Amino acid sequence: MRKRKKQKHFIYEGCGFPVHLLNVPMVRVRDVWAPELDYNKLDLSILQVLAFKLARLTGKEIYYIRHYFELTTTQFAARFDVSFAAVLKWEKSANRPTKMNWTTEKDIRLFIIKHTINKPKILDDLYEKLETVVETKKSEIKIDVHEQASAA
Amino acid sequence: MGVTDKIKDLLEVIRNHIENGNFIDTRHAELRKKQRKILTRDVVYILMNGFHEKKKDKFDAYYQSWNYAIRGKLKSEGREIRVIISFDEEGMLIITAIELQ
Repeated sequence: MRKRKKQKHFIYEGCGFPVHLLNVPMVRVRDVWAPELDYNKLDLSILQVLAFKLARLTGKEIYYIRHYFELTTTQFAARFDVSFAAVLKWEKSANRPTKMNWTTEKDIRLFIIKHTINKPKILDDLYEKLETVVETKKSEIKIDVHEQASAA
Repeated sequence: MGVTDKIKDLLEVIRNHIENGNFIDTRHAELRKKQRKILTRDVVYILMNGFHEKKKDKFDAYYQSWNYAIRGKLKSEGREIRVIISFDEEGMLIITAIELQ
């Protein structure tokens, strides 16, 4: 039977950068105390915190995001419309902010939200539409004034 | 089955433990020392997609249980990783992860 305890503070490094966990269930296995966590849920929580983080993403955070979605640097670069070299440069920033274009960083954050959060359908629809914008060469703006007036 | 018997359908057992979240990552001391920086997510990927490297399995006499080696390549980078796991009476333990190149 494993011994268990609750630890007030634990620094988790399994994602490549320190994450401060509070009130962590710990278990003693093979003479060491280890956190007893659901890593799938933890990964989702970390990603969501990163998406809403009030500071620029760091190189290690980008590395973690890319690994979470199991994308190669080439695939990640293609997904966010940047060069392969740019992704390598971001990741080399390690614990410092990547200095990537803010629009690109917003896109990465939206990508995380889309894949991890059950959000209002309207945002989901919008994101789906935004994903195809690059493919569409011409688009006419159409507004149904009648519908708009009814909505107002 | 006693702990000294090897598990036959190992990959299936591993998959069940991962899907149920029933595993403990004991590598935190290694990670804190900044050695062998292999993400937990990468370890899980190898365990779900790798192959059983039977030749590298070792019996741990102290804990009276088998340490199993699972080897695979990370999709995100192509790095080759070997993960050593074991089992105790309550579940699966990740013992260590080693980069092979």
